[in-house]
Amino acid sequence: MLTHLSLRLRVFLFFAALALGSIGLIGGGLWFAASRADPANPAAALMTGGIIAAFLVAGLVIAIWWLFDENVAKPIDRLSSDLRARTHASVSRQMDTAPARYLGDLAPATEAVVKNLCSVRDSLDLTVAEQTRRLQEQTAQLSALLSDVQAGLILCSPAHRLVFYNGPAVGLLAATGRPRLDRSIFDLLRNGPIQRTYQRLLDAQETDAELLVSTVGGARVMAAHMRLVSGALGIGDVPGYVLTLRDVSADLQLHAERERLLNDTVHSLRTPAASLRALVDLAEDQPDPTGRLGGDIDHAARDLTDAVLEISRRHDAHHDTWWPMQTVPASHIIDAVRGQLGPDAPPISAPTPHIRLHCDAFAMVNLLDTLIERVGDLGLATAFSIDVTEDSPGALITIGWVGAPMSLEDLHAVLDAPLKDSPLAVTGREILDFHNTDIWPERPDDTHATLVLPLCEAERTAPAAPGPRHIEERPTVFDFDLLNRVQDGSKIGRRLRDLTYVVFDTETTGLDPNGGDEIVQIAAVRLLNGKRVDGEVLDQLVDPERSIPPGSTAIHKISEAMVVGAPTIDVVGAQFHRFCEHAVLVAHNAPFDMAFFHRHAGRIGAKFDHPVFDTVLMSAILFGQGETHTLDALADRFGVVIPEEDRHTAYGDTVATAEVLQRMIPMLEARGIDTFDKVLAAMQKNSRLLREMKARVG
Amino acid sequence: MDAPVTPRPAAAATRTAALICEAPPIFQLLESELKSCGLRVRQIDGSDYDRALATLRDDPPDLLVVAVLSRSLRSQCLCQAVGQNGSFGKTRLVVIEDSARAIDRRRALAFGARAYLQLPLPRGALGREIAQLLAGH
Repeated sequence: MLTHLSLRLRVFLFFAALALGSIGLIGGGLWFAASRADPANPAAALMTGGIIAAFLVAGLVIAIWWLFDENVAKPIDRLSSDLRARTHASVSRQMDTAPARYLGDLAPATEAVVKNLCSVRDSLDLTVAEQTRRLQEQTAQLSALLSDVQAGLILCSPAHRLVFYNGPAVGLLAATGRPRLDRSIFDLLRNGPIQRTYQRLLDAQETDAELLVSTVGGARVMAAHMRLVSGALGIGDVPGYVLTLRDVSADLQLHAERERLLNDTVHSLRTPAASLRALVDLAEDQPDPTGRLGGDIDHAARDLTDAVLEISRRHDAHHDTWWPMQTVPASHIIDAVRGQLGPDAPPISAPTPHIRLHCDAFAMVNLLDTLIERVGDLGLATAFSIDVTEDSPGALITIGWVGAPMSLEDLHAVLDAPLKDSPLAVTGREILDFHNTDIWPERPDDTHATLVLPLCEAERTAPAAPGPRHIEERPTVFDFDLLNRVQDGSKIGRRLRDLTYVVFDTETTGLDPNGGDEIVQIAAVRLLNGKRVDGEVLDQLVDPERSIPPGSTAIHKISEAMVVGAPTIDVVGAQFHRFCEHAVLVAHNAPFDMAFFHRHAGRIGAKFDHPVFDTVLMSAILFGQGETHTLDALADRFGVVIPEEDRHTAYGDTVATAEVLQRMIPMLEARGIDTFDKVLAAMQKNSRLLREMKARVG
Repeated sequence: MDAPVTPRPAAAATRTAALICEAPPIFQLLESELKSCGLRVRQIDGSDYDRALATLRDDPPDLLVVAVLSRSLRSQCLCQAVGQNGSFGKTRLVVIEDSARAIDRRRALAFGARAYLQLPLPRGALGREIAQLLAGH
């Protein structure tokens, strides 16, 4: 209705209507007073007419205010929120201008500005996206490369906090806790050796040093190489450092065991050998009419053989070696054998084995390759098969062919010669000894022959499931912006962008955390420097130790069968607590989720006293309390798409909440709410909403 | 401490055993244990593989005891030749080796050994093993 009027004219009409209405109502009041006036007491009628006119004018003002609020003030508010979302949160979705239809040209003008902004931003984004894509490709390649490096790599800032780590580092430090960006290295490795070496390098103005450092708790010992880094990585005056880690616990244990065995050998053999020698010397020097000397010699000989037997038993039982081993998919070894033999070699058939072998892959490929070549040279076979099967706890490698078996003499001739390209001229026999194994010929039937090689250690792997949601097993994780971050521990006054956030969500058996409902799933992601850290995700089913009502299963699709065998809240809660270290927790309707953790703090063994941001309250700060603040509404407002299959899953909602938070931060900053304490203060102002949320939790 | 006396198998008196061992004291001990089980023992010279195999083929024994010392290739070859060869079907192979490695035991069994013993042998161990083997023969 009358949407074509300009805003000025509309405001004028509001006031004109107010003025004319007031005149009319006052006039009506006067007329009423005049018509009812008692000439003896005209003031009474005048008073009545005045009161009626005053109430009517007040009513008119309220009606005009309501119209003004609905058609002008609220649409302007909404328009400004939408404008901020598009300006600061980079929302590119088209604006809904219907509520602002009575604002004259303001809505079309705003639309034009937004359109223009989007167009400029789109062209800029296109250019940036192209460059970013190239950088991302290179980063992904570098990440893949670093993930394949067998050694653990960690880059620390001058404040000894993690800025970069690769997959093997996660494996090496798993017993202590998972490495996470911005986490202190001293949570994972003993601080003494690291700090001393770092300080020594700084004092001596050197860049490299070797050190031995154990994990916190001492479960593992690492040989580490520390290298100071600055300049190229954009660090300031004080350099950070790269630690290259290698687990030497097994090596040290092995050497210690060997040393112990050697010492024990010497000590346990010395006395019986000396006694025997003495008795033999005695027997040579004097006759032994009583036969006592013979008995003593017999005794000493038995002592000596017992000692040798015990030493041999210990030696054979612990046949570990220092020889470097890797855990390699068996299929890679077969491919390497094929590749090394070349295209002219006899064909090799091999079913895909889903087994990873713990071995020296290079040596093993060389050995298999040499054996196949030799069997071919002997004219025993023209085609081969390689089977790698489970042989718990290890695996069995079987080279098969149709034809006569290889003789042991031929096999040993191969094993006793140095393998080609082998460092230190190591023989096949030595390689087998390093693996504490052997190889031998077998004849399964009259037509087939095999060489059988058991390996002591192997692990079964699941066939790779094709699909788009493949999660990289050992990602390389980094954020070089952390290098220059100054740590003061306090969050007061810290810029929102500088905070570490853990955004999380839970799925539960019901809506009453204090009435017996429990968590069935928890997911969390970390945000550092305003960016989500891809490799740091928690997504875990939880055994609620009670039934899950069908109504709840219908929402989050988690059934009782799915949580059978899942860890309980004490385990997952502790894991989550470690994940949240030094972070601000963020959740949508946080009091609800936090109530579960507060209730189980005793079982978990840790208090959740972290600062908490709530995206419901943050939305109220940005859009006013009167707006809708559901996660769906926020996602819609910010153009965040939640895939249908992820909706109402802890992980899906967590990612959506994180994306909403990422868009809220610049909007808050634009309003001057740019620090941790300012957000807390602004959230407190929405006390009504806060009370409602807490009341719902109970 | 001496081990308990091994009961002599009732039907063992007519059995024959061949013994291959390159260490004389160990040979004497094994021979004595085999004889105490009532077996007729003959020594086979394992240093000549072909002759040893021919001797065994001419007159296959009921029991072949091979002492594999220091991973001797000749001894292993003889074990394989007898254990994996169908023509020695009635000969029970016993391998005695100076190793405690599980893989050596596994290899010996793969070669067809019916029993595997480690050196040094506890007194009476071979006799007990043979009694069990021949009881089921």
